[in-house]
Amino acid sequence: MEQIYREYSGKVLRYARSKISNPQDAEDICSAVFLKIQRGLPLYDSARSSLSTWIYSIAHNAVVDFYRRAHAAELLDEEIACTEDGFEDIYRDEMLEALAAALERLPPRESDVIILHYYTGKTLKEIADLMKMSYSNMKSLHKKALSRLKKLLQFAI
Amino acid sequence: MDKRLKRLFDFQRFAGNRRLAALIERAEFSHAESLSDEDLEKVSAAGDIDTARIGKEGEGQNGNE
Repeated sequence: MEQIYREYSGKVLRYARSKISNPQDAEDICSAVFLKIQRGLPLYDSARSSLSTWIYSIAHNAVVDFYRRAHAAELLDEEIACTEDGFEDIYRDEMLEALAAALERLPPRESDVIILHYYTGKTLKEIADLMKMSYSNMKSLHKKALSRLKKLLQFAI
Repeated sequence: MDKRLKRLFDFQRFAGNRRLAALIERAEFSHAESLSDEDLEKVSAAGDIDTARIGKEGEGQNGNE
């Protein structure tokens, strides 16, 4: 357990801080996650998921529960707020490497649109304003970027 | 694809893949929004501190002359 804490406490805290603005709340979430890990460790099945995926799922669910308790679930992206998504297959470091490799092969503007929309959470309208483009051109750029990315990632995700 | 991408990027917040982090940093830096009034105040305050420090250093140098 000590080794798990050493290896994952930074990741869990970083994740909680990226989702919850109050640092104390983020630390409380981190403590709750490690309590759940400690209790659940005897039941953890490495054949079903990697340790990293299992811990991420616990952290993710803890964040969603936090927002639900605070009656602020609407602040979370509905596609992120779901706790039963069956996407466990993508929660692997190799998937992130594949995504990074694919994004590196896109023209920078296309890669930026994907990152700003899907990671930073900006709307296409906001990105259009940032890039000083019309909304319709932004929609075309997003469509093109997504289509290219799909082709590059078809064997990965 | 949309959902999978969002979940994958959410996993990145946990896993912190360095290669992807570099791309994210570049994208966010390249398209950083203009500074808000609050940010400008912070910059201004920092400038004041620097000005004060430089002023004192200048006085010290003058005193040595």
